[in-house]
Amino acid sequence: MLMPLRCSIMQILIHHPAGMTPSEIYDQLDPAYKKERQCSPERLDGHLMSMKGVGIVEATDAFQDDHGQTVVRYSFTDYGLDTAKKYFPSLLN
Amino acid sequence: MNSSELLISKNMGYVKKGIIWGLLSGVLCGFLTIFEDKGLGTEPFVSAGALSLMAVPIVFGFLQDLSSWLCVLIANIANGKGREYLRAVKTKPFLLLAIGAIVGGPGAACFYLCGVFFAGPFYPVVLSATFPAFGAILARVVLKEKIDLRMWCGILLAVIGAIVVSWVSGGVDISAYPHFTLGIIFGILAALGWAVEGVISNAGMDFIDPEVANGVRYSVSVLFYMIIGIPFISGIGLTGGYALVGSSFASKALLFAFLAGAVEGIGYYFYYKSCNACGSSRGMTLNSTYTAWSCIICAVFYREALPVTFWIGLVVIIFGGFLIAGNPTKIFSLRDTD
Repeated sequence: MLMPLRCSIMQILIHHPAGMTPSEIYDQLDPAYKKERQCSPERLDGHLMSMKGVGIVEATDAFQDDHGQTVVRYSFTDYGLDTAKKYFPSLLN
Repeated sequence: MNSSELLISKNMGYVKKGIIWGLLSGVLCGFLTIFEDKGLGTEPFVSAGALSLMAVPIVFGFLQDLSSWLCVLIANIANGKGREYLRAVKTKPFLLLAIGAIVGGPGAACFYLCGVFFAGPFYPVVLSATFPAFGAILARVVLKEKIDLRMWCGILLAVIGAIVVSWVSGGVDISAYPHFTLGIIFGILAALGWAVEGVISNAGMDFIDPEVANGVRYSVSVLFYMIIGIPFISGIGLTGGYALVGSSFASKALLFAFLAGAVEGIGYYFYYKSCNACGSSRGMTLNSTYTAWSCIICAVFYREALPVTFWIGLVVIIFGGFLIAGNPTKIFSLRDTD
């Protein structure tokens, strides 16, 4: 069975230390969570914003796309890694 | 705009959303007390009060959480999150959500209902408003949330306000409540329970979507009521407990329980989202504005004149609450992560 969506986002980010945008994360998640309304770049961005608020991820870059929307690149923090190790160690595998 | 300006603008928008969600949860939960009070004052719950101390709070709490569970489930399925319930169960953070659910669901909610039952609707409402104060202290210790001097002042004011309100009880006829003091104690216990729930659940929401976490909370809570609460804690046993559930289905009390559950479920839906967006201490405080809405609704509905001290205390609580909520521009980073 799949992990909860937020955990899958974390797992992908842990394995991409350079950081990713919500659209890049969506491209990786879409095959597994396809047809689930909860999995869209906009909703993934919502998850990432709240994870940023609590320090699990950080924003490494921000720019505007062709439609004038702000796109943020997120990466996992050391605090996030410690939290994942404590509560969800399998995310690091 | 450069990169940092774009980030600030985006952060502001998100934090503002969190604050609006928190206030919305307060407004919705403001209707809770009136529905609870009407439901508890309707048969079969009036007569069932003589059966045992815990029978009414447990059975009414079960019906209420069942309604909340249903409302949240419908919302989550509509948002494509139905499968997340089962996925969440297999994770370790689920345990945090489950503990939070039991403490805040059957635990604090029962204490609160006992408070309303023994002391009437007004005082338990206001006492339970101190839960952000307990919550802020726990959030600092457990989640390492940043709490500055302004927030500590807010916490102190919230507690002082609650004491002022409960100290002078002349405005409401407390002779109608022979176990008034017991009701006040239950109100304080409810505040403690909700504070613990807010902090524990927020730790779990680092890994699980807050909307799903809220659904999991009600699933655990309903199961706890069904398996432990009604058979063992209600004091009237499995048969008596479910007989009371059954008899409520034929009465108007069910309507009030389900209305209470609906406003609570949707209110908590926004409360969990708010905690996750702007921090549990702020989310709790914004949610606690329900005291103001509750009091106004109850006073209008019952046409009761409340003493001036009641309103002064309430204003102090709300002012303290907003000091705890803080300045949105300074809450982009909620925790000390160094």
